[in-house]
Amino acid sequence: MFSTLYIEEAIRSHPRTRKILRRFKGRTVVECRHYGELLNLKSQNFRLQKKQPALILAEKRGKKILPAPSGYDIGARYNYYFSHVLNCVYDCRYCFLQGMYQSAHSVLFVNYEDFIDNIRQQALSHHDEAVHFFSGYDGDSLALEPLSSFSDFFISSLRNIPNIWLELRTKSTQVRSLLTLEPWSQCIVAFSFTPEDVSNALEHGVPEIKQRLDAIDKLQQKGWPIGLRLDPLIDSENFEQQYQGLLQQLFSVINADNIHSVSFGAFRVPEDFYAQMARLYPEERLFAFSMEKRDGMVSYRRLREQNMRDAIREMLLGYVKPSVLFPCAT
Amino acid sequence: MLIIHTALHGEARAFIRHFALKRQHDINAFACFQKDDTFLIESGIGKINTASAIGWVCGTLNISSPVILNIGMAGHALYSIGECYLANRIEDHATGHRYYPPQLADTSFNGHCLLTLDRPTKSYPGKCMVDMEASAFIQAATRFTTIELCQSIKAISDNRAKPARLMKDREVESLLAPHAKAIMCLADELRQYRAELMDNSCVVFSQVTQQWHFTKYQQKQLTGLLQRHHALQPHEELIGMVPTRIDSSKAFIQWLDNYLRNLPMKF
Repeated sequence: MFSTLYIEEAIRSHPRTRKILRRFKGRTVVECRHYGELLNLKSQNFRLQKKQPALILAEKRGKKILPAPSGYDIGARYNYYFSHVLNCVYDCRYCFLQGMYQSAHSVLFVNYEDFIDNIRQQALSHHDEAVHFFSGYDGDSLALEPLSSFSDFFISSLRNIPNIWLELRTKSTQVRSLLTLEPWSQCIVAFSFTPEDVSNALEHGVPEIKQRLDAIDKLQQKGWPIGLRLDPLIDSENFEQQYQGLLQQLFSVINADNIHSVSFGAFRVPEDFYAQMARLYPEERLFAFSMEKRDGMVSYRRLREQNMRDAIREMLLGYVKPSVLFPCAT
Repeated sequence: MLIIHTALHGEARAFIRHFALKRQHDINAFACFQKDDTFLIESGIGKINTASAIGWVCGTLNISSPVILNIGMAGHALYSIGECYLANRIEDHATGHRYYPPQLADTSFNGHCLLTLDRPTKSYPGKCMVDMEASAFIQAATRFTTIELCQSIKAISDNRAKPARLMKDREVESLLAPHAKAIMCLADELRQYRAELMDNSCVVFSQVTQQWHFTKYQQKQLTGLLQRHHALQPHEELIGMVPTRIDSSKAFIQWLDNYLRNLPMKF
């Protein structure tokens, strides 16, 4: 997956670094001082790097958890997110990461223990009220699992704290380690989907819908709570037909009665990210359609967006209870 | 466009021969050689010469996102003379600034770090190769192109057992010549990456701008619209579809904008 590995000098002998290094035998290893030296350089091209991305092993300094943006919750009052990875191994054309980072290299922070300390403290500060922690905003939660052993460590470390809820958002099928763990009723494995035609056109390198459904099937049989994320909703001339087909496909495998949550929201990205994404991929159909700028964001026209949200809500209500539906902020 | 930078004539000779480059006698500031879309510039030794040469050649040619290679010699405490490496980390000894040219191309060269010094040395500090140009090269080149297309390739010319000394052009050439083929493969691959960044709608752009006069602002609008058209209808011959009533740049822009708005969204 990665031909080059960059390592911050300070964590060269960290046990997790050493473990990952053993899997990189024979490949190029380059030492750096700080991952920002690579990630923040201006004159680099995300699109070119995506063809041969590297992995950077680094230490997360400073704040490790942040309040989740409002309107992205799945039922709790207190919501935070954390990122043990920056950037994603997949290459989804609608993804805001293309506009946010100059580089396509993935960063994996190896100091998991510091994340756990921060999460624990934050949870304790809210006493007995449920606190949701989201993973997977800045990169797929599980895609690097064979290298990172992230889910194993985080779940084992957090499951004894009663008010913590954890969401692992993913498009990956790397669920082997979850299947070896005892299911935790407060850990939601949330899978993102778009209809097959859209996925084929825009989600490069992402496992097929059928493969993701196989992973969901195994997890739900084992007793893991499953979440569905229809975010972003991508418009097309046969939007309703495509999403009707997708839901049929999903709920032919997913047990709708046991689903934890379904969230949905139309494609939207901050204006400056959108401009950067369109500059990177001028030939991309998604960026060639007319969009609207509103409140610093670029999205579909307001009325169209509302119609899409109404339509998907209506479709979903044919499968699940209204209480598990969570429209995302517009 | 491929730009090759060397410090010395001996470092350039193998490439002048390979590409059959011709000396550009009308240029006095630097020795320059060119054929078609390959340009070679010899800067002289050191960071200031290098930065001046890269700035001059990129500014003069004014080409979007060129591939720029720095090819030359370097010392290393232990590596054997004649071995060749691709710099995967370039550090300026004086400032401590580091650059990490990403290795996108599938190349036979091993990667290694490279330290750029202000003065020649026989002490070979650290584990890196040492030279006197690369940090200036990468800093200057990345003002004109993206770092993936800037690479520094170094043949080992001296080590602890055989320290640096003045070398004749022919000796220098003999260090790099065995690697010329692999360097050209690397350049070709980078040129293919560069092609991906080029705008496919420029042929139509020139056809349209020959027909009507477009202001600078309109040219920018036109570029955006043509890119959108290429994305949505890549196989459609736009020029043949323009209605006969279109008689100005303004009318063309309005027509194309309207046409694109009404195309169905399909995946």
